[in-house]
Amino acid sequence: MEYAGPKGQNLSMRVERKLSVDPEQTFVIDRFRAEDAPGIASLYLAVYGPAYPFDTYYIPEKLIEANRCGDIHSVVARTPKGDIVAHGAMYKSAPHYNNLLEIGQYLVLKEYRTTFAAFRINEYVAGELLRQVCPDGIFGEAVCNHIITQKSTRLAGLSETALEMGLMPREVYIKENESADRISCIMFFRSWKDRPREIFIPDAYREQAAFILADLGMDLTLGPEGRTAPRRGTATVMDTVFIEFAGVGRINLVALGTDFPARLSAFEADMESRNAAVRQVFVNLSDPSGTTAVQILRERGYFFGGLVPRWFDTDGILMQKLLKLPDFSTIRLHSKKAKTIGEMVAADARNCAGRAAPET
Amino acid sequence: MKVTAEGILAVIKESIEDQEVVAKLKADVPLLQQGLDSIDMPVIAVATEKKFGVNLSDAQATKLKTVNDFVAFVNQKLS
Repeated sequence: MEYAGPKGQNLSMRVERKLSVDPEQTFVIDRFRAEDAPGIASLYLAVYGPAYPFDTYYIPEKLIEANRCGDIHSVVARTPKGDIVAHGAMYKSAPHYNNLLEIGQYLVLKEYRTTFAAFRINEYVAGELLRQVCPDGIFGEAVCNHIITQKSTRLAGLSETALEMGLMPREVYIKENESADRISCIMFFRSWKDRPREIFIPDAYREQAAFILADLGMDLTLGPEGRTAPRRGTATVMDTVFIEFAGVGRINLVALGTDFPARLSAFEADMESRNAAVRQVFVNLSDPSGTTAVQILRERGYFFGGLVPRWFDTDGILMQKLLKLPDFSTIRLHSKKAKTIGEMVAADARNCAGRAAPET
Repeated sequence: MKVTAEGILAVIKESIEDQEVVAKLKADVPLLQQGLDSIDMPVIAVATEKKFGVNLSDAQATKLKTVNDFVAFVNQKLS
């Protein structure tokens, strides 16, 4: 739909100035309309300034297109004047499988933080929007320097599955007197459209996996470890990405091939040259050879992060390695489940230090 | 039927995860000063609505700060 900005904006241009919003207006929670885009950009400017790393939210035309094609499903708190005072979304992001959507992008204008806008948007995203968009599952990543996002994610019906150590640079979130470490994030998942499937868990993490999966309500059979080697000459299927602003390198390992050790070495060398603070490997566990990949990663100093259900349509495990481990005592975890996952990750990180020589 | 502070505290106990905080709540002190936060307040408001069958708008709910405020509001609605 063609749409001209409400105040004559050029919608293809990045919004550089905040729109004026009167305080104490009423609002409704609603799905995105094209005319909301400049207000959302203004909201991002008000909350994050001009430096939020994804420019889609600052450029109305990009946000309109992302909502049109289903990459983003925005939900807004809109006043009768058309001002946008809060935002949340369900959107495509890091998973290899594009019908596992992330929820997040929750922002509330400062003048409206005493209202229930964030709560109502969260409720809408986890209810009406979920029914309309109907993904196979949703996941969330909540920062662990406070527990507010963890609480709201649990309210949306998601449950913790993994702890991403030191995922975000502290500069993004740091406040006075807070830890100087990078910020860890806890991952959450909620199944929406399930199907029966088998998952092959490494013996080393069988107990942890059973605990994490117990409250997710999925029709899973835990297969034996197997440690099947890939067939001779089989090529590894994987994609890699380096998230520059965060200093994070990621591999989605879809299928193990005989060349995986060499490709992992190349990835590590690349990350070394980029000074990546965090390396994450998401390993597909739909095939017994996934457990072989996990063993290779353990031997290279990677430790357990948790599970990532439906990451590949099938389920995965997160293995991670950091240049410097954050202090576990600074990681704030809200629920009993999150705390138990934190203990599991800490224990494997300690074990890992003993089983792999540090990188030189 | 009169709603009491114990009745509201029971609603809070059922709806809030952090039972250590809930166990120490005082009825006359703002909930936000006792370890609850901005995520908990709407949860308590919605749970109160459901439990006692009263309509509580978001605007009204944001004005309720203490357990006693909730007691007074619900009793006024039920009278």
